[in-house]
Amino acid sequence: MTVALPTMFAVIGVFIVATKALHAAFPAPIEAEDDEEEYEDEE
Amino acid sequence: MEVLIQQYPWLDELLMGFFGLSWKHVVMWAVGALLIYLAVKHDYEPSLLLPIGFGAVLANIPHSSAVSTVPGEEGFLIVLYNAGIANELFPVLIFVAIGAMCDFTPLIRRPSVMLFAAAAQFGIFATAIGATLVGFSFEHAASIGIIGAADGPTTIYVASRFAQELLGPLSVAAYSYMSLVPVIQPPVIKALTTESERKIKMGFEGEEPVSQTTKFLFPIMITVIAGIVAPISVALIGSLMFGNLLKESGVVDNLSNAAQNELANLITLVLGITIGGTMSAERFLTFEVFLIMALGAVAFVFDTAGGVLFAKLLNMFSSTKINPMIGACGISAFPMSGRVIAKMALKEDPTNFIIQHAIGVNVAGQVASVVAGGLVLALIPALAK
Repeated sequence: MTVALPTMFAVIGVFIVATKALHAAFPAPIEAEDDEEEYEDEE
Repeated sequence: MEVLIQQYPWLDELLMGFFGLSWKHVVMWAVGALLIYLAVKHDYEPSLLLPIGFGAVLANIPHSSAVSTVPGEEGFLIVLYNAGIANELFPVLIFVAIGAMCDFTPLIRRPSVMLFAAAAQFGIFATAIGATLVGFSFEHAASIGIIGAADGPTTIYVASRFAQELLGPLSVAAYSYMSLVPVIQPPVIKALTTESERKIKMGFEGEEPVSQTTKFLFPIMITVIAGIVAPISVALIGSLMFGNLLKESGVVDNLSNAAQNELANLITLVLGITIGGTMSAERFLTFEVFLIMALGAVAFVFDTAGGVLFAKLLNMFSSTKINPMIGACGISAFPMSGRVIAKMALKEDPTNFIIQHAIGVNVAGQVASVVAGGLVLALIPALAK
């Protein structure tokens, strides 16, 4: 357990960092605001 | 009777079922009947427990042709075992199906939930130590510990590599405890938390929506990282993530649907009955199996406790409090565990909706249990030397 559990947390730690980096690199387009702007333009 | 058989030799062929019958076979029929009863009457993992129960009956009819090992006349359960379990094919295919069903969005939105899932694997390693102390070999002990992750396919995968002779009881224990999540988890959680802790409400501050590109790249990224850390885990994590990639790519809906439905159903069917076929009386009615069932329950309780206590530990150092109940969702029983914990929160406070957080941790539990399985596969041969 002294080897396996810390290894588990280390691997999960790498996953967390990588997932955060991936999420930050490809942010979701803010569709709602775009729609609002288009709507305002039309008005 | 012997005179009769000498006179009419065909009687031996006709009556060998009666002659071969022993009380152990009858007990195993009762075990099979119990599993079928739990599946039908109580809806406990019916798609698995029902085929396992019937497979157990088939395997315990004296001279059963279903489990014949006579060369050239192998029974269909033996053929299925060699074709799908001895070579680890069925669990891998099940993972493709599970991956296609998983939505990792809550996990990507809040990656820190993976910490709870990691903590919830505590029981695996603690039980493995306990199992070695009561006399199991290192390989068998690790396979028993995996039951605690409530991850049937990983249990089968690890057992087929390290404990083939214990595959039947290990699988039955894993799937039985998975189905008993609503019975086992709530009392453990209640014993470890106060009422005010169970009423903690959680918000969604700082959580941003996830792009389709991120969802698509996530399974590839996880496979590569896990593969580099533990190459032996690639079959497990790779098949899970392949299924998810089919879903998130958006261009192979037919394959994704086939994985979620036809593949999942077909493999579940043959997997269940094949596991049941391994439950022969000689293998199952032993003190060792009794210990496995007991240790499996311990592993399950420890995993639940590990997640809850880790959440409580984080609360000691964090200004934003977490409902410690979501730590218990770090096991792999998805989505049952998430739903059970969300229901518990609502029972404590009808205005407390933590289902999204609970499901996020539960999805992370899927990944963490596979990682834990991969680590066991990678570390056991090295540590056993």
